[in-house]
Amino acid sequence: MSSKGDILISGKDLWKSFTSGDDEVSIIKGLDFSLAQGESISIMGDSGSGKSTLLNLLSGLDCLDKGSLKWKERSIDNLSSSTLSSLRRSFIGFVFQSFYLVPDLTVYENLYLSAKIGSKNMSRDVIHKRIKKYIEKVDLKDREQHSVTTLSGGEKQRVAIARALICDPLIIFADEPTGNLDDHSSKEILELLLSLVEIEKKSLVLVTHNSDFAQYTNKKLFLKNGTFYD
Amino acid sequence: MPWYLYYALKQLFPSKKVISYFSMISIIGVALGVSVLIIVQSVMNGFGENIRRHLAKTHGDIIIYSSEGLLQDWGGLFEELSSDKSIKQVSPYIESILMVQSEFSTAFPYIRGINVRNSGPNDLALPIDEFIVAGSYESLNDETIFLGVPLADKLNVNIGDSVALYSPKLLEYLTEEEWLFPKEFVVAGLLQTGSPKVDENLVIGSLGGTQDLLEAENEITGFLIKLWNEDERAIESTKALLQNRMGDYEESLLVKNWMDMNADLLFILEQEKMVISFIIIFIILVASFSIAVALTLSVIRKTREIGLLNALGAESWQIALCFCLQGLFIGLVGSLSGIAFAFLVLENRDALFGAYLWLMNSNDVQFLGVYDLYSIPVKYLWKDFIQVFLLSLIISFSAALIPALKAAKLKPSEALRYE
Repeated sequence: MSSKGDILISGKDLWKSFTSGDDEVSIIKGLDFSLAQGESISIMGDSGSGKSTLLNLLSGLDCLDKGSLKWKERSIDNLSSSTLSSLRRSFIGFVFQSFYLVPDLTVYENLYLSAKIGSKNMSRDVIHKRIKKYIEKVDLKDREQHSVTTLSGGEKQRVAIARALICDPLIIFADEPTGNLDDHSSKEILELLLSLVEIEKKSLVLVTHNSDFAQYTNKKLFLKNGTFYD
Repeated sequence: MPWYLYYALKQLFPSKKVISYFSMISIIGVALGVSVLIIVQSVMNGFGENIRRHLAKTHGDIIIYSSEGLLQDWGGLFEELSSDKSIKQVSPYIESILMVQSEFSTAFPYIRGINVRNSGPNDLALPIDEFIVAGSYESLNDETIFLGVPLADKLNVNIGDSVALYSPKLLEYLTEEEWLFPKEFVVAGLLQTGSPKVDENLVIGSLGGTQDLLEAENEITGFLIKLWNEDERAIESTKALLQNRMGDYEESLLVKNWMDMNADLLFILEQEKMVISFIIIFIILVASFSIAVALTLSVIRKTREIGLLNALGAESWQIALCFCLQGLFIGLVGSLSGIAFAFLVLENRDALFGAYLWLMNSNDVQFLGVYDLYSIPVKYLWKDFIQVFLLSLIISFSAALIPALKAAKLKPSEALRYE
């Protein structure tokens, strides 16, 4: 476990572009980024400013065109997708705007699947205890055996938060976690996310449109045309 | 249980549902293919087995004869064969083509003379008793003959009627304008072996009577042999042993078994089974195509889910395995259901066939009764079951490979963005 203040992610001169027809569109243009243990950072910007792309790059879901990225001092630039996947298991938890729960599974099973993928050495009993613990923390005890398709948006996002934490990752990446929720639910979910991140001493990268929510993080970054500005 | 196995099972059998719709369609597809393959193979085996058993019954297990005509001093050889512990019965016989004439018609069948003097029906290498449909074995003597039912019909004779038999030598004398009378025999019994071709040309006489007719004195054509062990491999190995011994005894002696004597028919039966099985494999291929389509659709439907699995830390090979396992499960459940369904159909084949005939408004089934077929014959061979089962599993697994590889190749960021 890293001591508080250790740098978990450091990126230098990050570049990413996409091809659109015959044109190449640069989305991320030479960004530097760092995230310390226990730190929370919010990334804000307009639609299409590259927030999600940056999040994908930092989490290893997408690869850089140029630049270097390190996870706990280890460069991930040339790692195979398989190694990257196995590192991601213990390093990162995700909360997505569209929840991305497995619709054929119940609340419990969604968490179980995530725990099984994320932790090879966890016994069934330990997994069960952790699931129970997080279901309780996100206040879904009475919905445990319900299919996730029957849940409300707020409840789905609670499941997603529990799923992100179940494998005890160092960082939570939350990509507009309240984007599909009403104001009341958004506030509730964000408070839940922030409190759990604080209790569990996780680092947080929060992509959001909402500047009010960004106030709760240690650091705020504004992304415009692929670069940060003050 | 590894997560990919858990996920694959949950995809097929989701919580709160018995089975997913796509899985059900694919399983039915495989089950139908497997059941058709097993039903056809088992019925083909049944027909083949029936015909083989019938051929073995009408030809004896092994036949020994001389390539140089009739055997003269055969007593020693008879004793030697009779003392062989693997041989159950040895029946000397004489055989020849001849002309049979009744008041109404003439025919040119084969006569086979068998030794009835000191033998009961159970001491013969051929189960004559089983073939008799009218008359009795005891009534066969040097003055009487048995006729195949179609031959008797052709000659328009019945039990008690007399027929004139002309041996080839007698016909030769006739062409030399010598006038000789044919031998008169009384029809004492009618036979039905079940093989129309055999029955149309079948005359059975006593060994002595036939020898007299053919002017063969104490000569015989050869021996019909029945073995204790009727297994085809045992017959083959006994045949090889006898062949060696006969070579020492007299070089002109040939040893054949019933498979040799019906090699063409057996070859056709085997080829027919192979060709039909080959054609039916395409049914399984069609079924496996439904697996491929179902899983490809599943990959497309679940693109974002695959992206999520990747984000959670799943490796590409695990995701590919997930879909392959789904194919394998579909193949497994489909094959087992197919085998069960095939059993159900085969065990109720007569009722189903009757219902089919009723629906088709046809009660005239020509094949029944021929080759001892009175119902649709079935023979279950474990070898066929295992082959079909494994083939189905391999095809199902392979059908899942392409969608599985497609899923494994998806980039997580693109998969998560997929609309």
